[in-house]
Amino acid sequence: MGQVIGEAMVNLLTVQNFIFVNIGLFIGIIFGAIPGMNGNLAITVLLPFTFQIDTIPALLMLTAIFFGSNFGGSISAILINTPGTNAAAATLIDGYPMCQKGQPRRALDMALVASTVGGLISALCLLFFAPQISKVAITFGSPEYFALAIFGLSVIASVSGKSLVKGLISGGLGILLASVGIDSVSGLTRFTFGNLRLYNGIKMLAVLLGVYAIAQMIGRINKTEAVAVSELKEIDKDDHITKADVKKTLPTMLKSASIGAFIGAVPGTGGAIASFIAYNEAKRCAKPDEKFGEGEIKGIAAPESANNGATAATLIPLLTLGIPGDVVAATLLGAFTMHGLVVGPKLFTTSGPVVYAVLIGCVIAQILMFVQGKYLLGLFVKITHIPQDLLTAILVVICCAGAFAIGSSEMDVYVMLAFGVIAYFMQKIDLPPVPIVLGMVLGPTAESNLRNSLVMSGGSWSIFVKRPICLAFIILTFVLIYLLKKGDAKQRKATDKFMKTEQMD
Amino acid sequence: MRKRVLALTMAGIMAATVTACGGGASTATTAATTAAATTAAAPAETEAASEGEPAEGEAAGAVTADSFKPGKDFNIRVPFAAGGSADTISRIIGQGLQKTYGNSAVINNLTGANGAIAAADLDSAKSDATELMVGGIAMFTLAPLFNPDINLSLDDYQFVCSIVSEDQMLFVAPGNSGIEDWAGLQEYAKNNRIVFGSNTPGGATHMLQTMLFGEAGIEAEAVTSDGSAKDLLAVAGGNVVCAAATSSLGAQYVEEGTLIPIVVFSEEPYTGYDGIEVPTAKSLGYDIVFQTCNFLMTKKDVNPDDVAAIYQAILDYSETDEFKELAANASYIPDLSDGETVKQTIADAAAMCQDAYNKYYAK
Repeated sequence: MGQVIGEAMVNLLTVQNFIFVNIGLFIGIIFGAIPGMNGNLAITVLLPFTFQIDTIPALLMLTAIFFGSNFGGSISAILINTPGTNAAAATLIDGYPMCQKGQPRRALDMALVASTVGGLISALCLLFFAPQISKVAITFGSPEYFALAIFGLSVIASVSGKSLVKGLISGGLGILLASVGIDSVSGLTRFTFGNLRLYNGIKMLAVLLGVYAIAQMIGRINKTEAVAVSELKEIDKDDHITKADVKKTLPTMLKSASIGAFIGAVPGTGGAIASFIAYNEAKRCAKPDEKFGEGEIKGIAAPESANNGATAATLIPLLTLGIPGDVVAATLLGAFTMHGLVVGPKLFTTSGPVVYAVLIGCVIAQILMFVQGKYLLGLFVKITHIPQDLLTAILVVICCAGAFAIGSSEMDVYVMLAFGVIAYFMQKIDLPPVPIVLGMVLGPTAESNLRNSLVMSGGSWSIFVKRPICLAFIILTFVLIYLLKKGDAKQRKATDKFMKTEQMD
Repeated sequence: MRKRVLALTMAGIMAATVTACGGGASTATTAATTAAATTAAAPAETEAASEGEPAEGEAAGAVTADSFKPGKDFNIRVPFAAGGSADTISRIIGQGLQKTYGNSAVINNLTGANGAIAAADLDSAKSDATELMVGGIAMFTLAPLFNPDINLSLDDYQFVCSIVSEDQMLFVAPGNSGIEDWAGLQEYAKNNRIVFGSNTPGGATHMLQTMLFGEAGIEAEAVTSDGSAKDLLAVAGGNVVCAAATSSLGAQYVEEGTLIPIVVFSEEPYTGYDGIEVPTAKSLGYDIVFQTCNFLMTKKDVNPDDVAAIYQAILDYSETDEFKELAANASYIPDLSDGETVKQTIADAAAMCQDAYNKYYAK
């Protein structure tokens, strides 16, 4: 083992690797930050190029893109209220309000620190605990996936804003939208209206761009709402992250990163689910003076450390079982195979030095991401100085291009525009957009796994209580909803009291 | 007010420009493919000098690779996601065309509707041998049966060659179910429900298992997933009794001893695993033969000589060390049968699928 690590270090510590990791991170951050573009697209673009370079730098660059893009997604979420990637959807709940308060840099810095912490923990888990974690992941069958999805859907309760009923309506709409396409259990088509482009369903990213970006643009052009960032408040003089901020959020980050690492290791989940669950957990533990949804710094720390916590962990089932946990992992699988690495249980014995070099490289990449992010954020934050009229026009174009790039299909552009209009009117009647995302991500998982579980049990519902992991998730769901409800009431009371004392002072 | 109108107009015009690009399907490639072309073009130029040499020994009058002079870059539509094995293989073949002809080979991943979307894109391209597509056998056999909106006809296309074909087999986990062979499974089924892992109805692994259990009179139900790798994991984890998958996917599990193959759906018994001879379904009394197969195709009115030249170019490339190294890395065992053979294979499979559909699914 020691010899393998030694060899891996020799393989890893070269100038070439250092350069390629940095290139990967840079590309990843940029792709992540542009709405509609994402890490997977960047990896696909660079895949053929990596066939020409050595295995280790190639794999390091591709994984670095993955890490960078997950952080990059938060940049647009915070600055323009549009998640650059699915996984950043939870970040905007508190990220954008903080930006509106005149603290964009503080929000971005927090996202960067949280992403780094999340990424580091995830990479360390991958390095040290991959075989153990994959043993837990292998026990996940349909009932466990169903219970996990229901657990995730319970987050709707905490992101619905004022009205839970409206949150449930939005969540239901999301689930309904996700049912378009070929049904994954019966193989029949649903709501496709004879259109081949709808066979693969409505693309989540297209809906996201519509619901967040386009709806806002319509609002901005209309100027009755959605006030422009630069017109809101002068940027605070102390717009930067403080030691106190880091200290305050550290426990949240560590907890969220662990949630992210665990969820990321389960195939078929990913950063989006992890970030919502972590957000939920952070909100549940909120202190009276922490106002989630209004620019609370923990509301940025939690989802960001969770979605980056899921990144390296996604590679656990890929490397140990040969199962790609999500789309990006599937693309990375191609890269690994083309470089002669046969992923699966024997990978660590057959290609030890190469794999360990990549894994240790993943840890180092997180630190480099922090350094690079620090400099890039200075540039990105200038977006807030762009006049709104110009920014709106540019963003509409970028979003159209991004939507088209999802599957080189104009259908996704139409979907995005349609949902922009729908979401604009949804805002008018206070239907929250976040539950739509949750419904779309988790609806299909819940549905197909519920049906498959019942096939497994021959129609008996007892299968959900007979399996320990499954039962644990179901109990956890009820406990969380109860605590959240109780916490809400308590927090409301405490906030009132807090406000009163403030006024008296 | 003026600013608002200006912003609105700008947004409108710019958005229209972007979406309009999507109109001509053949010109619309993703950023991915364009960049892929640019990056891949460089080595092609340096190697172009060595083109066509293996074709020398051909008989007079026979088509050689260089009898085709492409007028533009190759556009290869691949209806599978980037990174998967079919995509990787397509890229290797693309690399070969690039080296032989010096023109870039752009891989365009157009997923969805079992290949019908990529086929529609090919249909809208001009009839030229550089306009190609990698197809899977399901697009002409199972997909049209299960999805009335997909109506692709074999006669609308010309087949260059097959690129890969793999045997499907049934795997069980003796450690979980105690089943070690087909007889064992039949015995097990007497007292237990058979739940098998497969893709959705309309996919090959679902059909093969439905047919096998149907013919054997065993009641079985499917737990579906979006990939055979997950099905095998479900067998290993004890969530399902068995699952069908290709031989390569099962290899690591078989080596480990977690799973064993008990039936292969091919003409000949499978001997690819050390010390195991997998019996055919036929030898057990069930006439089910099916191979998953991917092939290269183009439009039907493309000059057949050009198609033959491209086939020759691929054959020549498959002899090179570079190809062998790439194939070995990707665990790719090529099957480069000619176009006519491919067409016949698809037609046979289509007939079998039609029978299976009528018998087991139509109701």
